[in-house]
Amino acid sequence: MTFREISLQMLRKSYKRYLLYFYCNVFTAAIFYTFASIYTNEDFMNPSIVNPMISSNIIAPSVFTVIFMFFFIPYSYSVFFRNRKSEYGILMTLGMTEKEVLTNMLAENLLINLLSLVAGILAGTLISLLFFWGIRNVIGISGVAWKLSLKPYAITAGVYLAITAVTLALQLFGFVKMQITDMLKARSRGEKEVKPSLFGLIAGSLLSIASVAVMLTWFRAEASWVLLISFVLMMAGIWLLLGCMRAALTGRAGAFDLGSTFVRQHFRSYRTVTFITVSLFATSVFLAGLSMVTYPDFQNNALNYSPYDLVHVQSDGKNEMTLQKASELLLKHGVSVVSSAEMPYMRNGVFNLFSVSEINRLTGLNYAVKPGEYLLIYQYDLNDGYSHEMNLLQTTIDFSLGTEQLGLKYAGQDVRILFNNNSGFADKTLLLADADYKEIEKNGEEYYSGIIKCFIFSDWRNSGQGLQALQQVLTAQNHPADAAEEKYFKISSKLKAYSTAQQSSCFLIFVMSFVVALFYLSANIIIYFKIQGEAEDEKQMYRGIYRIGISGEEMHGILKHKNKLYCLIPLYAGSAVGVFFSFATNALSNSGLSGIIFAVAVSALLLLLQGLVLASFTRWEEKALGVEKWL
Amino acid sequence: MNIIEVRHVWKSYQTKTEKADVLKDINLCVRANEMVAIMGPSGSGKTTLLNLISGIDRADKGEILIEGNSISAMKKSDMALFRRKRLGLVFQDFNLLECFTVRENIILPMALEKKDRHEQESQLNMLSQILCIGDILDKNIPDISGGQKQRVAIARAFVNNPAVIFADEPTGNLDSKSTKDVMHYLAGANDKFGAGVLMVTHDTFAASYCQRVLLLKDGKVLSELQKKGSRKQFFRDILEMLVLIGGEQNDI
Ligand SMILES: Nc1ncnc2c1ncn2[C@@H]1O[C@H](COP(=O)(O)OP(=O)(O)OP(=O)(O)O)[C@@H](O)[C@H]1O
Ligand SMILES: [Mg+2]
Repeated sequence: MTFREISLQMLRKSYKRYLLYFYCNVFTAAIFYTFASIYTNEDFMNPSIVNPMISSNIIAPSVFTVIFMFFFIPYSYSVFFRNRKSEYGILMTLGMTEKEVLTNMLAENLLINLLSLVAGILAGTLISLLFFWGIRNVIGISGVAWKLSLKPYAITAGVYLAITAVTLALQLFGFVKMQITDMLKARSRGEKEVKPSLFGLIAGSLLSIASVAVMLTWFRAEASWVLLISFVLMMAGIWLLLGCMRAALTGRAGAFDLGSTFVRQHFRSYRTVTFITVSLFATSVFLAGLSMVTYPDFQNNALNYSPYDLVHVQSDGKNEMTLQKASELLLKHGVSVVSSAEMPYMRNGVFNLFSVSEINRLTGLNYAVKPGEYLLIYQYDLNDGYSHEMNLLQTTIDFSLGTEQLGLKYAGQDVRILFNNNSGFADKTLLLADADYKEIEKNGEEYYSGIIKCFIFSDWRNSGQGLQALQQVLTAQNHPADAAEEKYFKISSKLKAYSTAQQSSCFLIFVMSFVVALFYLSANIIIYFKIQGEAEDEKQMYRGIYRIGISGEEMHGILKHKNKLYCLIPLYAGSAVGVFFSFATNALSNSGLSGIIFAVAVSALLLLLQGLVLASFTRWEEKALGVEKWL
Repeated sequence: MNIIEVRHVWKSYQTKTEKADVLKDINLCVRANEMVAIMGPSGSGKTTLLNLISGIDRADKGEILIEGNSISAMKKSDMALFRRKRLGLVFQDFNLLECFTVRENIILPMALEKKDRHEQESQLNMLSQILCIGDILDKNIPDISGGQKQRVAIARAFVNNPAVIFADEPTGNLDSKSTKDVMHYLAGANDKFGAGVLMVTHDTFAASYCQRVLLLKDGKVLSELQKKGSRKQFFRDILEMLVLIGGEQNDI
């Protein structure tokens, strides 16, 4: 036997342990690659192929995934390493030098990490292909294709290797500082005790109550950071309360309850694992609730932001078509126009300018603006669930008229959606007195003018063909010089906005389901890790119990009770937290009770699944311990 | 020459409630080809002392010299090489590697030393014959008995022909025949190769093979007994000392 054979033998014999560690790494690398490939996909991130309303939905899930990766890799490694310590300890008593051990560990980890990186990237490529297939075929965004590119691979490899390197370095550093006697005992040594304290109970309860209070008092759609603060408070409270849970683990009615005793024995890590899994479950439930609620929101917004069924902008000799002719063209393709109107406007890079009488004529409103003043219009729907910046410029604006300046004073502001979004419009809208408007139109230098054309159909839902035909004719006669110009003169329609919103919400649900499944899965992998590792450590103890005279059925009961504490408690707590935040975010932003309903439904579903998970974990554990043979 | 010198060594363990001194100002030495037994009641600090001398734990105060070198001044890697080349360790709880077979466990120190296959085989055969473990060489560690584990641990400690042997109750799980075999081998190694032996034992019979017995109690060396005359005589002397100290023999 040689030194290399020793290392290989250890690899071979502790295959199972390595395998679990390997799976975890593959899993994380795969998920990370998937998000990286979406992020770096040029089609997907191109606003003219995929509406940013859709693609921006990927941000929150990716942030969660990266945070998750930062916790998961170090966690799985510390579990793995804890099991190796005693082996290395023994080898060191036999005279293996620290350098040899470190070399060995490095080699071992390099091997596992590179293998899992490769496997993870392959698996990730598959998941990512599936994901893009889903975007094309399920959500129906056909302009997007998965592309082979080096970038996501490089990013994944870089981040993954950096995290594993740091994790490894920290563990090796800890290892160098350890005495051999401590290493020998690393596995069998019981965990340090967590003392339940009255302080923890009170502080934990107070923090949770504070979290609820903060959320209910201050949360607004435009103050979403309150959610974050409240969530942190809640998790801190849960951490303290979990510490007190040990006191509750004394078994029923004072009777000796082996399952609870076992958990008490491993309470420190139980607390950590439960804390992590509570966060994962809570986030799952919350995200699921959120995505279901925003679904109708997206559609409502699309309608609110599209007061007309068709809008386009004529200027610079482009999009020239009389209302009459456009209506005829539309009718030819089955779209009957109920009313149509046009109106002159001016714009520069920042402002749209309208004369107030024209606006009143078109919209039936009665704004009044005195000469020398302007009225600022924010074209927002304040209930759309986004935050809006509305305290800009309340100052005098200067318009240059050849040699002179025309200064207009701020006369107030209003929030109202006048027109559909169109790239022919600037961001902000000013209403001017007719005289001032004419003056700028005549002598102004920075503004160019155009005509807005608006249409209302008898049935916008079936206007697809007509709109397409109109667009084709317009594009043909425009001869756009480039893509930017083509985009500038594109017509906008209620139908398009609506279907984009629909795709967007489908996509949101798709991505969120993906993330929810991911979080749910990882929470259970962590739990499995814990159960499996402890079963291995405590094999002797269980055999001892069996010899003392516990039957297979009793053992089944004990294991089941113990695993309930591992599998169900975090899901109960996580669901409660998730349901609360789902309720709070949605009920407070006028989405009614749908948030709570969806979150409860998702919790119920996860709970049902968790029942199966519990049963299979217990079965695996019994197999590992050989309980079946006792029956 | 003293192969081991322990000077004013202190060791304490921090527990939740208090700091307990386990070793209090220990002084002792072992000469190059001497066999020394340490006896003492359970919990008196014998294992702790061996851990300190073999460099797998660190003393709080005092100095430990091995072959004239202070181990606190030694580099960790030199200490490891010393353990590998010069030291044979038998642990009270064996510390066998469960992922290896009996054969592989015994060969391990030689593999670390990069000895060739031929030497590995002959050394293995020789020791397994003396310790009567030839027929369990291919078994896994969890599948062998306590006494067999002990003999495997002893074989592993001896394979590199160590210059010093530290053995923590090497005969604790053995019947009288096996005890005799192990002690004969230890005495032989001591006699033939001049190996120094420091062993912890509760067994007066095993202790009587040594030239000197130290009695450890409450973290201090309470008394010391030098062998004079025959082994039988020494056996009686040790018994007498244990009685004089006041403990029942069962305590030791
Ligand atoms: N890591 C540790 N932490 C705290 N206390 C310890 C530790 N190791 C040993 N002790 C305590 O130190 C004392 C001496 O232990 P040691 O193992 O040296 O006894 P021993 O003489 O070998 O006993 P035995 O004959 O039973 O093997 C004991 O009271 C033990 O509880
Ligand atoms: Mg001991």
